[in-house]
Amino acid sequence: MPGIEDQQTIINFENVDLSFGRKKVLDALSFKIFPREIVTIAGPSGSGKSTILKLISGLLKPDSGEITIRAGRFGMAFQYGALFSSLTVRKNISLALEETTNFSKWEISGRVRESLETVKLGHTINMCPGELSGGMQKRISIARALALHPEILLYDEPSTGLDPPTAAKLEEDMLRFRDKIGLTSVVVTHDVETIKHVSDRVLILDKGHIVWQGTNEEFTNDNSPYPASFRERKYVEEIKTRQRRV
Amino acid sequence: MGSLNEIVSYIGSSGINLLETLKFIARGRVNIENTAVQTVKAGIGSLFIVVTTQSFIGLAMSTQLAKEFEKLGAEAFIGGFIGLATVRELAPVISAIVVAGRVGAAISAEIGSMKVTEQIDALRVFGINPLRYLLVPRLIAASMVNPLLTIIAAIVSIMAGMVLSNASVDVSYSAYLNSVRQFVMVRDVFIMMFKAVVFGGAIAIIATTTGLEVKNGAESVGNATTKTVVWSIMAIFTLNYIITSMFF
Ligand SMILES: Nc1ncnc2c1ncn2[C@@H]1O[C@H](COP(=O)(O)OP(=O)(O)O)[C@@H](O)[C@H]1O
Ligand SMILES: [Mg+2]
Repeated sequence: MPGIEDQQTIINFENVDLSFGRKKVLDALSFKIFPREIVTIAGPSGSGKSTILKLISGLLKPDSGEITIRAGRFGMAFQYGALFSSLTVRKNISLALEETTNFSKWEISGRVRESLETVKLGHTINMCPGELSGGMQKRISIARALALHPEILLYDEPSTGLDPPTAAKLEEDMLRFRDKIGLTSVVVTHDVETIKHVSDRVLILDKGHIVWQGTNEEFTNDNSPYPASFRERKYVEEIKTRQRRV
Repeated sequence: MGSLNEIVSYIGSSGINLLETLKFIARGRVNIENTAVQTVKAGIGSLFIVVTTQSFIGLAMSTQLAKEFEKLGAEAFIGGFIGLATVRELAPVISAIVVAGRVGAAISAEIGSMKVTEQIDALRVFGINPLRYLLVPRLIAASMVNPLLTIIAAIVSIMAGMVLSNASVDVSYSAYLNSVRQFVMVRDVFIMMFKAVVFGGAIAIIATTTGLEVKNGAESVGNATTKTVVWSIMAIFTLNYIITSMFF
């Protein structure tokens, strides 16, 4: 029974279950994402955020449930960059284009330059990942995804491990991609600052499903337990101390 | 080494990887540049070790044989005997063991750390089949490099035997080489090469399969390299026996 709203979604999860061995990570997970919005999926460490991105990108298949993606290409900015360590920055970005398209050398090198300029790292083009800081590697990872001209960009913990100014710059980029190229972004994070800075909508993930969702404004103002505890970082801290004790 | 279940599923996934890879090769989906890089890397990494181990094997064998054959007055056969033992069994097996330890372990460590750092996921997200991108070049490289190393190994071992036989029991170089030529047939050399191709391929498959199976954690990258060497050595000896019994 596809309704109007349903037709507009670019990503739709319906009752998705996924277990690793006997551990149920996602339990009847449902959510919708619409074109050109930035949605953050917030949840504590180990709640299944990266797993959701892997389901969207097709790296994992659900045990049951329905995942519908209405987009051609998507890119993924990995948590630690996942740059190909034996290849230069240039080759990291051009590889997928060389391997999966018929673009000419000119077109490809144009795309490489363009996407590196977007993240303002043009000068690193001949460097190897080992020579770059963690933050730079993450931004190259984004450039690598952008070079494919994706309709959806998936970000895994974009601000984790970055100093605040670098994180802020990266978040500015994310907003710019939405405004300039109409990119749909799915951001998974447990960083409250990132959530407040970039989100159009926020989904809070706990115990395998979405326990709260709302706009950025609602996330900031709603005093019900989930967004409130998340905002005050209590939620995250609680989880951290619990983990430390184990 | 794990349960029987694990072993069977491991052999199964190696077999599937082999079939997938052969399909890509048959369709000509081979990255020449990558293959060349892998070939050079594998060859240079192993050459010195192969030459060293094989010269000492040649020396050790002729030390043993020269004295015994002299007692029997059969010095004329030393070359043939060393030649046959080298070409039929020692050169292909020992070179493959060196390649397993040097090249196989390196492939596993490289691919295992690519797995841990999500580089394999990145390939797949971008629509690049990791087997085609990683295994195809390494399979071709190992199947080319190993025969080359094996030939060099055989020559080095036979030459070492020649020098030592000459020094210890005074067999002339020409008598030694004549004996080698008399006993070692072209067919033996071809079978040696065939073994080397098979062993090289097996090492690449095992190393890649093991690398791709690595789960998170630096410890398991270490485990993967050990597993690759152990499984490769077992595969080399098993396949060696099978090929030997097919042809001799
Ligand atoms: N390939 C896997 N095999 C087994 N367990 C996994 C695997 N991937 C993730 N997990 C487990 O699933 C849970 C969710 O993981 P993940 O999605 O990475 O969480 P997050 O990204 O929210 O920190 C964790 O408990 C993790 O240990
Ligand atoms: Mg994660």
